[in-house]
Amino acid sequence: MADGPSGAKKCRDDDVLFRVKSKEDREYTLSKKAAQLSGTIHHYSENYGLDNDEAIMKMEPMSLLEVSSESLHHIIRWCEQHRNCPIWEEEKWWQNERDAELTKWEDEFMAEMTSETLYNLFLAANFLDIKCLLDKCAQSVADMIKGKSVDEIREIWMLENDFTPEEEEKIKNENPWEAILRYQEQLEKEKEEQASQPAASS
Amino acid sequence: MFSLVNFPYVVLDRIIGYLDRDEVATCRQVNRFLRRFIDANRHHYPLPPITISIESEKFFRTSVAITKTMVWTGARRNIVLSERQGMSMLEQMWQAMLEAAELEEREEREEIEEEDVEGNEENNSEKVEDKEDGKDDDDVIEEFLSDDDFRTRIHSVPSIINTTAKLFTRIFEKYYISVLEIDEVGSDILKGIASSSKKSQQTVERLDLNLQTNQVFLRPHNLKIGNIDAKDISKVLTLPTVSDCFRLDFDMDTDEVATDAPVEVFLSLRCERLNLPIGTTLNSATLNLILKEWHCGKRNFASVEAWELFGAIDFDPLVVFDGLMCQKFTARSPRASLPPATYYRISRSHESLTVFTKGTALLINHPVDYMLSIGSVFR
Repeated sequence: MADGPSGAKKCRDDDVLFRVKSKEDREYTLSKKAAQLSGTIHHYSENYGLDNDEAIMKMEPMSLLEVSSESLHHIIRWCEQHRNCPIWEEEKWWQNERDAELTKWEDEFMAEMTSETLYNLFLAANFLDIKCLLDKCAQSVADMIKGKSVDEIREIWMLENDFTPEEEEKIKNENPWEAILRYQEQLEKEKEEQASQPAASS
Repeated sequence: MFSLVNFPYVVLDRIIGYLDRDEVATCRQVNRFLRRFIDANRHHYPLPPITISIESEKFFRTSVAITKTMVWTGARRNIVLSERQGMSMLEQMWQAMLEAAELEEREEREEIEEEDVEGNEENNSEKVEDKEDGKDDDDVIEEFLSDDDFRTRIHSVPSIINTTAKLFTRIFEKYYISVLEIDEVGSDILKGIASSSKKSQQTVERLDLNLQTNQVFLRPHNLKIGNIDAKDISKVLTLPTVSDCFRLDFDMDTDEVATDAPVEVFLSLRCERLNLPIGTTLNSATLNLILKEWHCGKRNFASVEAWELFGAIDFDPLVVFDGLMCQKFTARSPRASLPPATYYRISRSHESLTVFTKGTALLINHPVDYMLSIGSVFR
């Protein structure tokens, strides 16, 4: 519907098309609704008076110098798929229970990504401030870490072990939060006890 | 390049936010960058949090007086008091304890006199009964800690010294204090602390008692705070800068500044960041570096005692130190409630600054080992 060089000014459900340009100077379009998922585009629209359909139809393409064509293609796919979702300002709506089909689509979308693509997509989502995509990317990357050993993480992420053997040994054995955690647990326990006291007495 | 460390910080923060406690701990072992990043941002992550309570954090920077106050007020009711308020409350509390001790002693004396005179057996049996019905020390302390009205509670405490010792122990355990220097509290209390702490071996891992130097070393829990940066403390406290966490009373007439003693903490944290081990002799360049960071457009401001503790300098009455003129003098405390004490004044050009009393400053010689001098508080 939306990617590829633009000729049309409206998409099939009559939503006006927003014009964007990748860093390779390739032009893409996406529906106004889809574009509103991006905080960056939202602010751009406000700053350049793109608050009505006519202005959007006459707009010069918005240059996204930080976003490659490949990433922009994926971004537009994502946004169009989520075009009926609440706009970017409404934090965390995507974490609520929602359409199983959409979740499935998201999982498939992420499964398509190679490490390199995912990395670039993540950066692009960050630049465009698309919170739902950012979170999905973060979750995907975190999933790549989960259950891995320290050595595996180093290997996957190409990270050098720059600890000295002594430091490594020390870090393995320390838990800097242990005491704090214990203290917090104690406080929570006290709170619970306090909370349960009136209930028990009543 | 597709590498975890190449992500922008905000993105990396979001990724780590999806990890659980163990996974965060694993990532922390990967390399120095990740370790530093996680340590600096760990309060963002669901587990393990670095939400040190304001009460306990505040303690590290002020004095046992405030902590004690907080045990009664802040910790229970989430109130944070200024050092001045804390000091005042501690003094009142201490006075109340002394009065109670005198009262108890007087009552005991009177009872003995009555017994002697009347030889009243009934009275004796009542006394025994009272003791049997009475709660044990731990219960009393628990009540004491949970009750604001210590003035009334104190009367039910069988032994002031014993209870004080236990109170200290509990406070140390609660707030993870590791080293305490007690100047003039008395060896009885130190002994009490020692015996009371030894009973709770589960929480107190090591205790050394040195009556000669009046130092008690407690090693409760497994506290590591070496990686907490001054910046992180301010984050934890949700305050914009570290300096905002502290109270500064500046007297334009006398050019004196009273403070909650943040500089020592600051120095300590900086030294930790610079990987300076205990007892390092700080050279002038390092000190200046630290001080420059601290000054940040503020008044020149430093504590001599912290440096002394680092083994850096033996201050003569007047020392010129890389443009810092350090003058030792005795003066009346800006806090009217404290007695005259030794102060240090440090000057750079025409600016003036401050100063801590020997007795009230929080002295730190290692991020893990806190040395707290509370002598003047109890004078």
